[in-house]
Amino acid sequence: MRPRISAISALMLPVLSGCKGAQSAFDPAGVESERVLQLFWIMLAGGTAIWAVVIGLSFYASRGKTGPYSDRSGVRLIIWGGCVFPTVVLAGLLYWGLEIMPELRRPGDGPTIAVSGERFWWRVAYAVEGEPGVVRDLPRGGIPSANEIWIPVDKRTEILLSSPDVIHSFWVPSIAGKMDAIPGRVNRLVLEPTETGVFNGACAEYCGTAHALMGFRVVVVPEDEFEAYLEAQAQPAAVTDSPGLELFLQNGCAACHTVRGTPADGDVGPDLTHVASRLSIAAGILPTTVENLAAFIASPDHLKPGVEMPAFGVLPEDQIARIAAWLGTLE
Amino acid sequence: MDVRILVTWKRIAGLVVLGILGALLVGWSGLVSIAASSGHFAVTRWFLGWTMENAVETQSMLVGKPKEIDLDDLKLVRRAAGHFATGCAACHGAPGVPQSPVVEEMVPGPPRLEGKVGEWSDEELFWIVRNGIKYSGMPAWPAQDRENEVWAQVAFLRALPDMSRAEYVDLALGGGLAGKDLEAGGETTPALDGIVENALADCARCHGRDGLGRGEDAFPVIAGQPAPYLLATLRAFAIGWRESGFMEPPATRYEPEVLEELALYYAEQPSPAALSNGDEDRSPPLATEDLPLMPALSESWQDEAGILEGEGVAASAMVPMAAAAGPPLPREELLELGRRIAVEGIAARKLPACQSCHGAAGRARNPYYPYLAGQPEWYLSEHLQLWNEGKRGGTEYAHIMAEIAENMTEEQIEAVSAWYATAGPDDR
Repeated sequence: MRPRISAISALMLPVLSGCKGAQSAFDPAGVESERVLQLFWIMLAGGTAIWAVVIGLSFYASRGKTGPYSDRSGVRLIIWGGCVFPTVVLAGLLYWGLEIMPELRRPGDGPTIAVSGERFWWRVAYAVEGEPGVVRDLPRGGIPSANEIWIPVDKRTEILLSSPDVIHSFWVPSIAGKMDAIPGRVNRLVLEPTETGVFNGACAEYCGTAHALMGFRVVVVPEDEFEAYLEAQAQPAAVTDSPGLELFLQNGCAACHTVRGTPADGDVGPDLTHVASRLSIAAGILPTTVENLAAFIASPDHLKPGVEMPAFGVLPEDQIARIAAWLGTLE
Repeated sequence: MDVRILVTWKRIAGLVVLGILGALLVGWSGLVSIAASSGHFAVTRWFLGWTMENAVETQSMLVGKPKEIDLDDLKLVRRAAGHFATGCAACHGAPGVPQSPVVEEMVPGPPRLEGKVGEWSDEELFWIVRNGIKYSGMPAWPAQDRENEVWAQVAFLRALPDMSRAEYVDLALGGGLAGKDLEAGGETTPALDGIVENALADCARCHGRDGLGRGEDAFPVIAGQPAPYLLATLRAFAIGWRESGFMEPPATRYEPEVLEELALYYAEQPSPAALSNGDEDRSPPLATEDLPLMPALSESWQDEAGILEGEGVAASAMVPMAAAAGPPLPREELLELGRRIAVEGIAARKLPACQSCHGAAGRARNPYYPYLAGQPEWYLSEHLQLWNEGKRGGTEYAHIMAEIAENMTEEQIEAVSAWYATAGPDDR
């Protein structure tokens, strides 16, 4: 008996280790995800217990006591087992579940960050002034970024969510539950991380071909580090005199991308002012390296099928290399 | 005499087989008259003509003239006139141009069109010009997706019966030949000896020597466009990446070296903006220095047409992100919307500012991006519509524009076309 159990445990181990990591609701690093996990375990335990009782009863009825029941005991079984028991248990679980909600919906005491889900990336703006009540559009302005959200640990950061195109859903499994980003409406989600670290987020509502590659990173840091990050992000680009920039402008990259401190002021795609400071490019799918930047410029559709950015592989290779090298210096 | 024949399935099948064998036997004998010299029997001639007329009548029922097409528009007549001279007049003759005796020996003989076009409706003419007629030598339109070109040709045909020789010469031959006697068969294609002067005269019939287009905004402006863009565009016409019944024939008519000369010539002509700016704002000579004019033109580049995709790229059925709604905008607001799209873009609709690539006077620009200010409005809107439908090819950069135009609504297309058509030199 013993060896068998440890063999099963050994087999389960790699499976369970899949529950760890930067994108797992089983490895909570935020208040909401902790409660969600707790909710899950309790519901699972309750469900398992009820399942065991029901199966036990059916065994008892078919194997243990096969004789007929009296009317009286039959009615009693139906009333107690079929009406009272589930009503009490479900009402109890419901009460407990609902009781969690007000706590989770408390307004934030940290920064407010506007996040817009767009096919197929996340537009981020820090230090925006949120408006109370239901609003149709995200507040404009703030300090722009993309596909990476820095938040202070142990603070309730309020995320304002919307979209200009289709419905997306914002999900950082390690920190909180999902919230839809709906065109023409602003939804709120509070992130209250309890641990520092880098976590993965994803779009959790099918939004088009590149939906599965529409990810982002959430970087949780101590509050002073967050303030320093904001200050750095508010600065214009680090390098504004480079052959790469010339080519960037000549070839029309600036039609879609902003690099603050240069004439590039396009607002269709991600702000690239500090692109090299980000952990990933192309909405969380590739680590930020000059090689990856060059590869993405040349054939974004191969790395991310369905992407809205047209391929610039038709440009001479050395031009692409120079543009990528310049972007690589924008920390 | 009373002969009784029992009809059975076997016998019917036998009869059919016998019929097929008989037909094969006739074909195999080599005795069928295929000689044009002998013509048709009168009854055959009648039957073929009757069949053709019925076919055109029936099959043109699905043709609908777009409401914005006005066949009396002189612009349309102009656009198709040059093509008539090179594509049609060789067989059908033209005002002041007799049919060649060579052509008169064709069976069926191509009719002179002055007296014939009145017998057909607009839709029927459209059908014939677009589809051609099998076994008659009448070819189909080379660019099946360019229906507006076919309508322009129909407009020309409508104007043909009342067209004088002088008018025809001016419209179709660039006016430069008014004094010359015209050879039979019309202005035939110049010999492919690579003489640039010939080729230039050919271009100038429509685009003018100055590249501004002859008359009434009938043609797109090519003067002062960057040479690499012009050459890549000619090449795109030649290999079928970009479709046009008007431009594919001349682009295939000349050697790559000649096309290169033509591109350089027109790149050096002052653009409308340069003209109104007293020539200060000429585009820098982008052509030859740092950027290779073209990826080396290999001997076989025309042969690659079949291998290189580009023709008939399946238009992905993309739903526009914003359907046009509400009543049409008044002109002023339309221009304002156009300005906004051109200069600022509409980020939420994934529309970048057109000017980022197509404008910016005095700033270096990728030499494959054309300027747009001063182009005729019809040209811009027709082509944006083609981009929008995934039917517009072009240079190797074409896919970039396709990605953008597929998000545009009709109103946005109208607005931005109107704005660019009226845009001043500073907007270049």
